[in-house]
Amino acid sequence: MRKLAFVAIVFMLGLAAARGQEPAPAVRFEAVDVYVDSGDRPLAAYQFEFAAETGEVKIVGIEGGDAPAFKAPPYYDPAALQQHRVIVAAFNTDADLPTGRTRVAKLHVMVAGDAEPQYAAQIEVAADADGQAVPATISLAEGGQDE
Amino acid sequence: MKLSGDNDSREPDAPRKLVEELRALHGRVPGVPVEVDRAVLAMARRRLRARRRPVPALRWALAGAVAGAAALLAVGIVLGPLEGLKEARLASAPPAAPKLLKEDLDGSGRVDILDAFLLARHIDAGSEPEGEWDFSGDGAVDRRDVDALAQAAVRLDRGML
Repeated sequence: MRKLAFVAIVFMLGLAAARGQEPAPAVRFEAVDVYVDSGDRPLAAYQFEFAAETGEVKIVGIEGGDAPAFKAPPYYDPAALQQHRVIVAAFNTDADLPTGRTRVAKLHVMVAGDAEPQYAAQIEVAADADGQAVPATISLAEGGQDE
Repeated sequence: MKLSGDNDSREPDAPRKLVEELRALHGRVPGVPVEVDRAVLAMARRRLRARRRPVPALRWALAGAVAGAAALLAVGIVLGPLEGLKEARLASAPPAAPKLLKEDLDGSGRVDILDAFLLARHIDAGSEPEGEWDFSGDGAVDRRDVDALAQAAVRLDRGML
């Protein structure tokens, strides 16, 4: 009887130890590419708002896009880092402006937990070299895990 | 002189015959019944009371008028200074709209990247800048003001510089 009680206690202690060693929530880093398509009109300025609508997401970095006009890091509020929402904007007064679908920025995010994050972006400003509004669409592409 | 038949040795009595003739002349005075007397008294009291009291409706109207006047006086005493304080605060509060308009260069009603873009084009073109565009406060209108305006446009709490 004593042996049985001892075995039971050891078993319970083992279970408790196993539960205490649960792995911490996984954290991974991802990149999200932001594209603005201004059709056949040159894009001289843009402004959009990006947000992670679900998931435990924090924005950790923002860099420019592909086109020379928007290669430099865009404007954003530094306070947006470590948050899930940011307003991003840039302009270029040069003559060499992109048309069509252009990657204007890349956002780096940190995702905690297993939930798959959902991102959303809304274009607020798209203008040509004269500052005139141009019809434009915005789209996102998850660029995979960062190194 | 007494007309009664009471005897009082100090006063001379009227001649009995005269007394009897006078009584016969006026006859017997009839007595007033107690019920009639009470009814007359009650009626007299009611009339006197009615004269003293105001009409009930008039009394309520008077009371209401007095209470209303008191309430108006109290409201004036309490709220008067508060209204004055509010007006003073409004007068001393910094006007928000002009500052927003100052940064809203293109007059779109909000500060966005187009305002910075407009200022950048203005500077690139070498046009005469306006003094109120010195958003960085360094005494010159240059690229730093463009950056300041662009930063204002992307602030999460969107507002002013």
